Amino acid sequence: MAVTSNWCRCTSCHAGYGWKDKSFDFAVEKIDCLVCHDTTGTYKKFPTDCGYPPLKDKVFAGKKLFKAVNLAYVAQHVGYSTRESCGKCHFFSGGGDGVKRGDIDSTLIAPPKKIDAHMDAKGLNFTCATCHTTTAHEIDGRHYDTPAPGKRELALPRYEGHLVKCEACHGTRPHRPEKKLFDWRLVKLNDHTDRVACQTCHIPLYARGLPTNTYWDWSTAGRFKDGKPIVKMGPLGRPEYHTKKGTLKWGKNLVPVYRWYNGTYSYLLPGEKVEAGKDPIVLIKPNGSPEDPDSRIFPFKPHFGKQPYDPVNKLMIVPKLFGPKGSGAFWAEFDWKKAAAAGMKAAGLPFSGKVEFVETVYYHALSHMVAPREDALKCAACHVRQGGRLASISGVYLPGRDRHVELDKIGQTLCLIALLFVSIHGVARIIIALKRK
Amino acid sequence: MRVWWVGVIILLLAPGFGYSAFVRGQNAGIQLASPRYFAPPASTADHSKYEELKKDFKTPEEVTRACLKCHNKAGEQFKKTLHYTWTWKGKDGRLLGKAHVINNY
Amino acid sequence: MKQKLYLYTRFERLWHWTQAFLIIFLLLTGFEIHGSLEIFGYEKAYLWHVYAGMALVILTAFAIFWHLTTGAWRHYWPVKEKIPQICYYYLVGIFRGEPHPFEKRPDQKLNPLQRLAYLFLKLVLFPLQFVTAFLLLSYQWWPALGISASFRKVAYYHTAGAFAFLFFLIIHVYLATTGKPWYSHLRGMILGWEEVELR
Repeated sequence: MAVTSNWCRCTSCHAGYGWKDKSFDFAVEKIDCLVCHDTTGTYKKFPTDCGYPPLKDKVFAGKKLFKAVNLAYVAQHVGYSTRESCGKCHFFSGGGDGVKRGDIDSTLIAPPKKIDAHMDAKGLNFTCATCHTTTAHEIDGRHYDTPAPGKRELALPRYEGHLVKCEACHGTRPHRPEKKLFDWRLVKLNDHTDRVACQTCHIPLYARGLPTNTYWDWSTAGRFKDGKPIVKMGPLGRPEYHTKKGTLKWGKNLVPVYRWYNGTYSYLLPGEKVEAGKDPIVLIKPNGSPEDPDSRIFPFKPHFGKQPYDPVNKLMIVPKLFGPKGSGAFWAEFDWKKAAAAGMKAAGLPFSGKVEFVETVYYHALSHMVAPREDALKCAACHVRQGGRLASISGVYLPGRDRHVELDKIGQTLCLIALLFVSIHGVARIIIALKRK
Repeated sequence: MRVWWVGVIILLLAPGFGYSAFVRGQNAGIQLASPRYFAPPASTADHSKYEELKKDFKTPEEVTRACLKCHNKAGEQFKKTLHYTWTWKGKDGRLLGKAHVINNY
Repeated sequence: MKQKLYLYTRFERLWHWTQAFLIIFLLLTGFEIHGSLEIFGYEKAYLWHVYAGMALVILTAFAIFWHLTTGAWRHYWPVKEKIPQICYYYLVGIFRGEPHPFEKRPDQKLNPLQRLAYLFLKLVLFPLQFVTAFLLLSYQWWPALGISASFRKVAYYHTAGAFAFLFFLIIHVYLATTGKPWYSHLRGMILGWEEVELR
């Protein structure tokens, strides 16, 4: 829910050492070089040690053994980042493999072409940094309210330092005939690029590797059976109920939702008043509109949740989840009020003492796990009258979906009248001709 | 021997072949498909040979210090990046970044 | 007295039937793109619609050339005579077994109503469909071509034209059966020779 007050658990994915509270000193010695530059695969950070790797063998959550890291060995084998080194954190965001993103999980360590056409271990074999071009440790990508760098046009072969957008390598009319000189089909596909993002057709489904979390109800967390925490596994091999987390829903091979997107997001920050209504509160939403020439129709994973809210102050609650007994941490005492009080105090925000649970939603742009071309969406996925993927997208005339209802009515009526008239006329002629005989 | 018409046919066909070769060449350029093209350049250093790294490191910070001895600009570069600060100053002045935003996970 | 007249030359017949096939095919594929039918699948419907449309443009170019060089365009020149009589014939006379008020001759193959209908088709409907089709296909190049239009509106006119063609087709096919015997117009359009009543 928030990093604040849960430091050491969350900062186990920080590229630094010892971020254990607000006062962390961002000094250069605290930088973790190895987490990105390890090529041995033996360097792992311990999940609750504020970013430190285990220097002795250590067990996490009573189950998973983290072996002591041999620092000298890792240091002597540093190199470029790999899918595995980036994935150490990014595959596991949300607390587990594939939980948060839906388009990034550990299958990308060595994916087949079906999962990712670019990272295909037996084919193109891209690393993350192939697209996320990096200059002086500055890695290309969208940064909150700032779109990914680079223009939406062909950057190759004159390389301009940014390859993170599809267009950088593929251009703005990306479909080219392979055998024929000219292919009208491809001309029309290319016409889509002014309004439809590449991702929309080429990421037909998400969570194609591992299941991803789609719904997270925190309000039910904290139940015990005979004094013991409950973990109930669901059909996808992921928990449906977890005492620490609540009720969870998972999905595989899911259809994205589509929104206009200009490469930026809007955020609801803790401390900003928000009214809880009938619809879920949108925590993080993509910006964009059909009027904006930089916006495209883009696929998203929506993540729904139910989480604590202060109905008096009208604030989203930053709960303290992680910590020792006595600190108020929910995962130690299983009391939302205490967790809210401790978390809001750490965040420097007021807390009324009341906790309510509200539905929330959060959108993730899907840009990874680009499918091979034969799996891309076909025309009729969107160009249908009803139930198409872009049924809710406004601001474009989508042939097959859209029509001018009055014109259709008038046209159909006139044609039906003509048909009726000629039928009556014809039948009358036949009858008269038969009578004459 | 009427060889001249062979020459005429070749002359007539040449622009076509030339054009198709050009188009194919174009495709080859666009299909930056060879894995080699995007492979990172081979390293020019073998880190296991450096004395600086042949130490019994007690803390990971010691490793960082050893790295920064040679890569003396890396620390200042990395210090400013999102991977380290988890903070992004929004265009409207609000502080965004992992350390400031909330979600429902 | 009946006489066989050679009314439709080989080119005319080829042109007519090719055009008929193309227009019916364009209507089917077009209304599939529009979302009203489901026959070929969207992608094929789209592609074949474009190909058929291009074929129709080429055919029309040949037809225009033929009409201009042979002078056959004169058949479409509108005339006023006998229009009320023809309307009366189709509404009443045809049921009483009266003769058609218009006499077909090689130098005036089309009756005044046909002249008006076909002229409207050639001067209004075909250009409307060709221009809107070109606009719909080239909308990515509108800024470069200096065209400012709305895709939605152009689609509106193209669909309206399609309904007009469908309307025409229904009436036209029916009227083709009003010869004596009922298939005589059809046979004439296929073979070129038609038996015509001489008075």
